[in-house]
Amino acid sequence: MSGASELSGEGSLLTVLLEAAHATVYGYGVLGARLDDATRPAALLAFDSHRARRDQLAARLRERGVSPATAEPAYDVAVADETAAYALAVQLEEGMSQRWRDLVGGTDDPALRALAVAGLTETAVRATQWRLLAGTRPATVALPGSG
Amino acid sequence: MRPTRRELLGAGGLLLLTACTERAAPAPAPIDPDVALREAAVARERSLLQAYDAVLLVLPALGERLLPVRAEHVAHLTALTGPAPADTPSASASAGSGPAAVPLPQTAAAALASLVQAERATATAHAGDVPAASRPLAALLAALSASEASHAVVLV
Repeated sequence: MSGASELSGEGSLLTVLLEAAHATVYGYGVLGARLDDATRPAALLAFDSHRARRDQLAARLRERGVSPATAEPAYDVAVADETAAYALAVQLEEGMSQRWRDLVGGTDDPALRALAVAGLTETAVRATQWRLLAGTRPATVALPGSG
Repeated sequence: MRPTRRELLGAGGLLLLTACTERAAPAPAPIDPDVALREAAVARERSLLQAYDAVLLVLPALGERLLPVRAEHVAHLTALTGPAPADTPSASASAGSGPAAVPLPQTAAAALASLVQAERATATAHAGDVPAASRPLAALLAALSASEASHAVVLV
């Protein structure tokens, strides 16, 4: 490998994020089908947001000479009803929050930190919105992304 | 033979002198930027706690809604300063006479709106300090920023 160890650290964090983003996009596709007309738009917005971040992550990897991981053909996701859909949405957002936070703490690159802060904030906010819909209280957590 | 008191003092003084000169030799220790960043974040969290306490004093009925959020700001302080001063009474003790002499909202809607604004401003300020922070502090500030942004969602 030609990359410096610092690069491989960022490269592996970005790869972990990208793989999670692929799974999250897939998950939203599945859970969106279990929502009604009132809540499905929120899932669509989340789907679009994760897809956009996924593309940014792939671009950051390509810039570093790392070939971005592609999505699996399918992921093991089962969503029986609306309650399960909310629970999965919260779980997906929390998982992404954790990985975005890992990236903030794993790079000195200001651009990557800015991307990760944005990713962490939007996933934490969405997790809160899904918890509100699910009736989970409190709907916030003190330290998003801390697992 | 036991050394005399004078000999002991002399030896101690010499050691002290050596230690001083050795320590003075390198350039002044670089200031850790995290110290100021951490203090600024602590000040922001204390200021938010004051804002919540001020509202709760006038509108105690909002307690059910506000106390869980307030508790998360206490957790933020703990994360920034360590577990010891978690229950710092200074925040609430100075609430009455604190410098943050903002006019107190008299309606629940106005109070919530002012807290939402304060949460958003704090989220922006925490995020603004991320670039200059060490990696661990950057991750913490990012989490705090994301948390304040989430608070704004539950208060609207």
